[in-house]
Amino acid sequence: MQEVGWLRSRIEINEELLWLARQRSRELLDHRASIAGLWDDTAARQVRERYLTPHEEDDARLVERLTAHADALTETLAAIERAHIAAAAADREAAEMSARMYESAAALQRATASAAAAGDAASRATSAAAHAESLIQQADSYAIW
Amino acid sequence: MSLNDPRRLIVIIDELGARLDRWSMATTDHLAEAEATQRCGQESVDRTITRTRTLHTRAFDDLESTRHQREHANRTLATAQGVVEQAAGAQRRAIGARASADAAVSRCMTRLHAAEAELAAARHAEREAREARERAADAVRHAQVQLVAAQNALASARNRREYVGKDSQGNDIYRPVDLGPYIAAVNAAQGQLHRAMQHLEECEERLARAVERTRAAERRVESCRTAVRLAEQARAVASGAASWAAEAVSSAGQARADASSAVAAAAAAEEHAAAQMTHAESALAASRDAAEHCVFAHGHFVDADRDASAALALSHGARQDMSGRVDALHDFDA
Repeated sequence: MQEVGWLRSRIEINEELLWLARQRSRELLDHRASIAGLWDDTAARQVRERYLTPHEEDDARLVERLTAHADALTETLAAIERAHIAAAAADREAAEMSARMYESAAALQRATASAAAAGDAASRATSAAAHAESLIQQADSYAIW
Repeated sequence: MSLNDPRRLIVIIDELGARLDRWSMATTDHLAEAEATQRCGQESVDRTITRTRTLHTRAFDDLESTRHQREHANRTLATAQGVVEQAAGAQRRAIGARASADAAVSRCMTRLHAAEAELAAARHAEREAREARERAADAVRHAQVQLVAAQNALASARNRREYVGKDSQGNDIYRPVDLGPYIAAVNAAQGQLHRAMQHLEECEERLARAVERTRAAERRVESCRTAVRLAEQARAVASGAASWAAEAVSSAGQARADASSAVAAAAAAEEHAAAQMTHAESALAASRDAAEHCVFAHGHFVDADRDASAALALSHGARQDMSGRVDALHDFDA
């Protein structure tokens, strides 16, 4: 999230500079309006028609596009934050998954060992029972007349 | 109302130029920051995409691992179930063997007691037969002595003459001893000896039968003792089998419990892995959204940069024209 914080700082600075640029545009327009009746000679008309009016149109588009740019960057940041939040959730699930896998593996190890011990004991028991049955048969053969 | 005072016009135009300069500076600064922010955003997007792709791959691998673990745990549970049944079977057989061994010990002990009673009776009969034979042997010996005495008496009688009186000439008259009684005594002694020997023979036969009965009883007792020893050994072995079987049942139960735990843990792990996959897919989708927005932002920036270049050029042109006008006003004022 440090990276998101860095991008957010840049976006905030960018938005501050966008606000300042808008401010300067507004100030320029306000100043032009305030001097419209004061400087109105041929030179003034020439500067207005050749430069200032096209400049005003370009600046308006510029502000509009920089605003769209800032909005798109904000959307980008929001999407990145969503990605990081989802990634963090995935990491948490992965940690839980790892813990359960560890538990499962440990239980499997114990189960395998117990099953082997049980199988061995059962084999011994069966073998001993068979031996006992054989001894009983022998005993009966000695006791029968 | 338009001004004609050059000095005031110079101030107005200079102020307009200053406003244009501040606008240019702000726009230039903002464009530089916008470009840097765009680059920063692109790098963040790239790293996020890389991370979320890795995350997605890991989630896929983890999901596969948990599925394999669950299958492995299920197989182990089935094996443990089989071992439980095997242990139960062994326990049934061991318990049955122990019961059979107990019954065999009881049966063999009963037979041993019967054999011991038979041996005691046989030994008693043998002792009586032996005493009867001794008496019969004594009787034979006595009859033999009687016979020898009768025979000796007969032989003596045969060589002896007995005086019976004088004849007409006055000579002593002798005649052979009447042997009849002696012969009868010999015959009687012989008969007695014969009967005694017959009785001795009968006693010998009775003793032989009694000895054989005793030997048979001894063999039976020995055999029954062996049977008891074997039955007791069987009982000890069967007890050991029962102990092994109990241990087998206990271990098998533990194995089944552990295998069940393993299955449950693996199932839980699989659920977490599935949730991990869901989150990873969301993260990947969000990173793709971020990339798309970043592309849009880049497009807006490119357009803005083009508009800014044009606006800055116009601003620069205006400044140049206004500078010329200010210079002219200064000249006019001078």
